[in-house]
Amino acid sequence: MAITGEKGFAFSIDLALAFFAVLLISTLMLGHLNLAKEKQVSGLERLSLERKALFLADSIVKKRNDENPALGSALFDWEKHRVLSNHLDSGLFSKAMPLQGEDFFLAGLSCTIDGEEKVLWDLPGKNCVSIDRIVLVEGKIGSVRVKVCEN
Amino acid sequence: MKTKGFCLSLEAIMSLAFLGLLLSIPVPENSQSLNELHVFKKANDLLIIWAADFENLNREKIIQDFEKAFPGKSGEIFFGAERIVAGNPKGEAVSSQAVFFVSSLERKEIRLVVYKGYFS
Repeated sequence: MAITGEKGFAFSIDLALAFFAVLLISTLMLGHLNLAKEKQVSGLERLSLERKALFLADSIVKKRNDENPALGSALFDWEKHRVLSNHLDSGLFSKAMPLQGEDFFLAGLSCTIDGEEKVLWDLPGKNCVSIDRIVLVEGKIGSVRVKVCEN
Repeated sequence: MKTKGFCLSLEAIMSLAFLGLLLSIPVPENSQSLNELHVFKKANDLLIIWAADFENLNREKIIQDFEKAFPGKSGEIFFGAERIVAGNPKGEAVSSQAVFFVSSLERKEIRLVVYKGYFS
Protein backbone atom coordinates (compact mmCIF):
# COMPACT_ATOMS: atom_id res chain seq x y z
CA MET A 1 0.00 0.00 0.00
CA ALA A 2 1.44 3.30 -1.07
CA ILE A 3 1.46 6.04 1.45
CA THR A 4 0.88 9.45 0.00
CA GLY A 5 0.93 12.84 1.57
CA GLU A 6 -2.57 13.71 0.33
CA LYS A 7 -5.16 14.48 2.93
CA GLY A 8 -8.21 12.18 2.91
CA PHE A 9 -11.58 11.98 4.56
CA ALA A 10 -11.99 9.20 7.08
CA PHE A 11 -15.32 7.87 8.28
CA SER A 12 -15.36 6.41 11.72
CA ILE A 13 -18.21 4.18 13.01
CA ASP A 14 -18.96 6.96 15.41
CA LEU A 15 -19.32 9.57 12.67
CA ALA A 16 -21.37 7.20 10.52
CA LEU A 17 -23.74 6.52 13.42
CA ALA A 18 -24.15 10.23 14.10
CA PHE A 19 -24.81 10.81 10.38
CA PHE A 20 -27.51 8.12 10.26
CA ALA A 21 -29.00 9.36 13.51
CA VAL A 22 -29.32 12.86 12.05
CA LEU A 23 -30.79 11.40 8.85
CA LEU A 24 -33.30 9.35 10.85
CA ILE A 25 -34.18 12.36 13.00
CA SER A 26 -34.82 14.48 9.91
CA THR A 27 -36.97 11.75 8.33
CA LEU A 28 -38.94 11.22 11.54
CA MET A 29 -39.37 14.95 12.01
CA LEU A 30 -40.79 15.33 8.52
CA GLY A 31 -43.05 12.30 9.03
CA HIS A 32 -44.19 13.69 12.36
CA LEU A 33 -44.99 17.09 10.83
CA ASN A 34 -46.84 15.44 7.95
CA LEU A 35 -48.92 13.33 10.33
CA ALA A 36 -49.76 16.37 12.46
CA LYS A 37 -50.73 18.31 9.31
CA GLU A 38 -53.01 15.50 8.08
CA LYS A 39 -54.72 15.32 11.48
CA GLN A 40 -55.23 19.09 11.47
CA VAL A 41 -56.67 19.03 7.95
CA SER A 42 -59.11 16.20 8.70
CA GLY A 43 -60.03 17.91 11.98
CA LEU A 44 -60.74 21.19 10.20
CA GLU A 45 -62.88 19.42 7.57
CA ARG A 46 -64.88 17.78 10.37
CA LEU A 47 -65.19 21.14 12.15
CA SER A 48 -66.44 22.77 8.97
CA LEU A 49 -69.10 20.05 8.54
CA GLU A 50 -70.15 20.38 12.19
CA ARG A 51 -70.48 24.14 11.69
CA LYS A 52 -72.73 23.64 8.65
CA ALA A 53 -74.91 21.13 10.51
CA LEU A 54 -75.16 23.51 13.47
CA PHE A 55 -76.12 26.50 11.31
CA LEU A 56 -78.62 24.46 9.30
CA ALA A 57 -80.28 23.17 12.48
CA ASP A 58 -80.29 26.75 13.79
CA SER A 59 -82.00 27.94 10.62
CA ILE A 60 -84.68 25.22 10.82
CA VAL A 61 -85.70 26.05 14.39
CA LYS A 62 -85.35 29.85 14.21
CA LYS A 63 -86.48 30.80 10.71
CA ARG A 64 -89.38 30.13 8.40
CA ASN A 65 -89.05 29.39 4.71
CA ASP A 66 -92.29 28.36 2.99
CA GLU A 67 -90.51 27.48 -0.27
CA ASN A 68 -87.90 25.26 1.32
CA PRO A 69 -88.84 24.17 4.87
CA ALA A 70 -85.43 22.49 5.27
CA LEU A 71 -84.11 26.06 5.69
CA GLY A 72 -86.74 27.14 8.19
CA SER A 73 -89.78 25.50 9.74
CA ALA A 74 -90.56 27.72 12.70
CA LEU A 75 -94.12 28.82 13.46
CA PHE A 76 -95.17 32.30 12.37
CA ASP A 77 -97.23 34.40 14.76
CA TRP A 78 -99.55 36.40 12.48
CA GLU A 79 -100.70 38.64 15.35
CA LYS A 80 -97.19 39.66 16.35
CA HIS A 81 -95.86 39.47 12.77
CA ARG A 82 -92.82 37.49 13.79
CA VAL A 83 -91.41 33.99 13.78
CA LEU A 84 -91.64 32.06 17.03
CA SER A 85 -88.20 30.70 17.77
CA ASN A 86 -88.03 26.99 18.66
CA HIS A 87 -91.75 26.47 17.95
CA LEU A 88 -91.85 23.99 15.07
CA ASP A 89 -94.60 24.10 12.46
CA SER A 90 -95.00 20.32 12.05
CA GLY A 91 -97.09 20.73 8.88
CA LEU A 92 -94.44 22.83 7.16
CA PHE A 93 -91.59 20.69 8.52
CA SER A 94 -93.06 17.52 7.00
CA LYS A 95 -92.79 19.16 3.54
CA ALA A 96 -89.01 19.62 3.82
CA MET A 97 -86.94 18.34 0.90
CA PRO A 98 -83.27 17.24 0.80
CA LEU A 99 -80.76 20.05 0.31
CA GLN A 100 -77.56 20.03 -1.71
CA GLY A 101 -74.66 22.34 -0.82
CA GLU A 102 -71.31 22.87 -2.55
CA ASP A 103 -69.42 20.31 -0.52
CA PHE A 104 -72.13 18.83 1.70
CA PHE A 105 -75.72 17.61 1.57
CA LEU A 106 -78.57 17.32 4.04
CA ALA A 107 -78.61 13.53 4.41
CA GLY A 108 -81.26 13.21 7.08
CA LEU A 109 -84.00 15.06 8.86
CA SER A 110 -86.24 13.77 11.62
CA CYS A 111 -88.39 14.96 14.48
CA THR A 112 -88.92 13.17 17.81
CA ILE A 113 -91.96 13.82 20.00
CA ASP A 114 -92.81 11.70 23.06
CA GLY A 115 -90.06 9.24 22.16
CA GLU A 116 -91.57 8.64 18.71
CA GLU A 117 -89.22 9.55 15.87
CA LYS A 118 -90.70 10.69 12.57
CA VAL A 119 -88.00 10.33 9.93
CA LEU A 120 -88.50 12.44 6.81
CA TRP A 121 -85.51 10.88 5.08
CA ASP A 122 -82.22 9.27 6.02
CA LEU A 123 -79.64 8.87 3.26
CA PRO A 124 -76.25 7.17 3.58
CA GLY A 125 -73.13 9.31 3.24
CA LYS A 126 -69.52 9.67 4.30
CA ASN A 127 -68.18 11.56 7.34
CA CYS A 128 -71.67 12.44 8.55
CA VAL A 129 -72.45 14.78 11.44
CA SER A 130 -75.73 14.60 13.32
CA ILE A 131 -77.03 17.50 15.42
CA ASP A 132 -80.23 17.69 17.44
CA ARG A 133 -82.09 20.78 18.65
CA ILE A 134 -84.90 21.15 21.17
CA VAL A 135 -88.25 22.42 19.89
CA LEU A 136 -91.84 22.78 20.98
CA VAL A 137 -94.23 20.90 18.66
CA GLU A 138 -97.96 21.33 19.23
CA GLY A 139 -97.34 22.14 22.91
CA LYS A 140 -95.03 19.18 23.47
CA ILE A 141 -91.29 19.26 23.89
CA GLY A 142 -89.40 17.37 21.19
CA SER A 143 -86.26 17.43 19.13
CA VAL A 144 -85.24 17.95 15.52
CA ARG A 145 -82.30 15.92 14.22
CA VAL A 146 -80.24 17.15 11.28
CA LYS A 147 -77.74 14.85 9.54
CA VAL A 148 -75.18 16.46 7.23
CA CYS A 149 -72.68 14.46 5.14
CA GLU A 150 -69.77 15.27 2.85
CA ASN A 151 -70.36 15.11 -0.89
CA MET B 1 -8.42 -3.65 30.67
CA LYS B 2 -8.13 -5.00 27.14
CA THR B 3 -11.78 -5.94 26.54
CA LYS B 4 -13.05 -4.59 23.20
CA GLY B 5 -15.78 -2.04 23.66
CA PHE B 6 -18.00 0.23 21.67
CA CYS B 7 -17.51 3.91 22.31
CA LEU B 8 -19.81 6.73 21.33
CA SER B 9 -18.72 10.30 21.13
CA LEU B 10 -20.59 13.05 22.94
CA GLU B 11 -22.15 14.14 19.62
CA ALA B 12 -23.47 10.63 18.91
CA ILE B 13 -24.88 10.31 22.43
CA MET B 14 -26.60 13.66 22.04
CA SER B 15 -27.95 12.68 18.63
CA LEU B 16 -29.37 9.43 20.01
CA ALA B 17 -30.84 11.23 23.01
CA PHE B 18 -32.47 13.75 20.69
CA LEU B 19 -33.83 10.91 18.55
CA GLY B 20 -35.31 9.26 21.64
CA LEU B 21 -36.84 12.58 22.67
CA LEU B 22 -38.35 13.07 19.23
CA LEU B 23 -39.87 9.59 19.22
CA SER B 24 -41.40 10.17 22.64
CA ILE B 25 -43.29 13.31 21.52
CA PRO B 26 -46.87 12.29 20.74
CA VAL B 27 -48.68 13.67 17.71
CA PRO B 28 -51.19 16.17 19.14
CA GLU B 29 -54.78 15.00 18.89
CA ASN B 30 -57.16 17.35 17.21
CA SER B 31 -59.44 18.34 20.05
CA GLN B 32 -61.29 21.07 18.18
CA SER B 33 -64.99 20.39 18.26
CA LEU B 34 -68.22 22.35 18.31
CA ASN B 35 -69.69 20.06 20.95
CA GLU B 36 -69.73 22.79 23.61
CA LEU B 37 -71.44 25.21 21.22
CA HIS B 38 -74.01 22.49 20.45
CA VAL B 39 -74.73 21.97 24.17
CA PHE B 40 -74.93 25.75 24.63
CA LYS B 41 -77.44 26.09 21.77
CA LYS B 42 -79.55 23.22 23.14
CA ALA B 43 -79.50 24.86 26.58
CA ASN B 44 -80.69 28.11 24.95
CA ASP B 45 -83.47 26.18 23.15
CA LEU B 46 -84.68 24.84 26.47
CA LEU B 47 -84.55 28.30 28.09
CA ILE B 48 -86.59 29.81 25.21
CA ILE B 49 -89.21 27.06 25.58
CA TRP B 50 -89.36 27.47 29.36
CA ALA B 51 -89.61 31.25 29.08
CA ALA B 52 -92.53 30.93 26.63
CA ASP B 53 -94.42 28.69 29.04
CA PHE B 54 -93.22 30.22 32.28
CA GLU B 55 -96.68 30.34 33.94
CA ASN B 56 -97.01 26.53 33.78
CA LEU B 57 -93.43 25.78 34.73
CA ASN B 58 -92.75 23.68 37.82
CA ARG B 59 -89.96 21.57 39.29
CA GLU B 60 -91.17 18.25 37.83
CA LYS B 61 -91.61 19.68 34.34
CA ILE B 62 -88.16 21.29 34.46
CA ILE B 63 -86.45 18.01 35.43
CA GLN B 64 -88.49 16.06 32.85
CA ASP B 65 -87.60 18.51 30.06
CA PHE B 66 -83.94 18.58 31.06
CA GLU B 67 -83.69 14.79 30.97
CA LYS B 68 -85.37 14.73 27.55
CA ALA B 69 -83.00 17.36 26.17
CA PHE B 70 -79.80 16.08 27.79
CA PRO B 71 -80.20 12.35 28.41
CA GLY B 72 -77.48 10.99 30.69
CA LYS B 73 -76.18 14.46 31.56
CA SER B 74 -76.27 16.25 34.90
CA GLY B 75 -77.39 19.80 35.41
CA GLU B 76 -78.45 22.60 37.69
CA ILE B 77 -81.36 24.92 37.05
CA PHE B 78 -81.72 28.17 38.97
CA PHE B 79 -85.39 28.98 38.70
CA GLY B 80 -86.18 32.11 40.72
CA ALA B 81 -84.90 31.43 44.22
CA GLU B 82 -85.05 27.69 43.69
CA ARG B 83 -82.08 25.48 42.75
CA ILE B 84 -83.09 22.32 40.92
CA VAL B 85 -80.52 19.57 40.51
CA ALA B 86 -80.62 16.79 37.94
CA GLY B 87 -78.17 13.91 38.27
CA ASN B 88 -74.80 14.45 39.90
CA PRO B 89 -73.46 17.86 38.88
CA LYS B 90 -69.69 18.12 39.03
CA GLY B 91 -66.79 19.03 36.77
CA GLU B 92 -66.75 21.22 33.69
CA ALA B 93 -70.03 22.78 32.59
CA VAL B 94 -71.74 24.93 30.00
CA SER B 95 -73.95 27.64 31.43
CA SER B 96 -76.66 29.83 29.94
CA GLN B 97 -79.06 32.37 31.39
CA ALA B 98 -82.35 33.80 30.15
CA VAL B 99 -83.76 37.11 31.37
CA PHE B 100 -87.31 37.89 30.28
CA PHE B 101 -90.54 39.67 31.22
CA VAL B 102 -93.78 37.81 31.88
CA SER B 103 -97.22 39.17 30.95
CA SER B 104 -97.35 41.23 34.18
CA LEU B 105 -94.04 42.83 33.07
CA GLU B 106 -92.26 41.23 36.01
CA ARG B 107 -88.59 40.46 35.35
CA LYS B 108 -87.74 36.75 35.55
CA GLU B 109 -84.52 34.79 35.27
CA ILE B 110 -83.69 31.17 34.60
CA ARG B 111 -80.14 29.85 34.57
CA LEU B 112 -79.29 26.44 33.20
CA VAL B 113 -75.96 24.72 33.83
CA VAL B 114 -75.22 21.54 31.88
CA TYR B 115 -72.34 19.41 33.17
CA LYS B 116 -70.17 17.35 30.88
CA GLY B 117 -70.10 14.37 33.26
CA TYR B 118 -72.63 11.58 33.26
CA PHE B 119 -74.79 10.27 36.08
CA SER B 120 -72.65 8.55 38.71
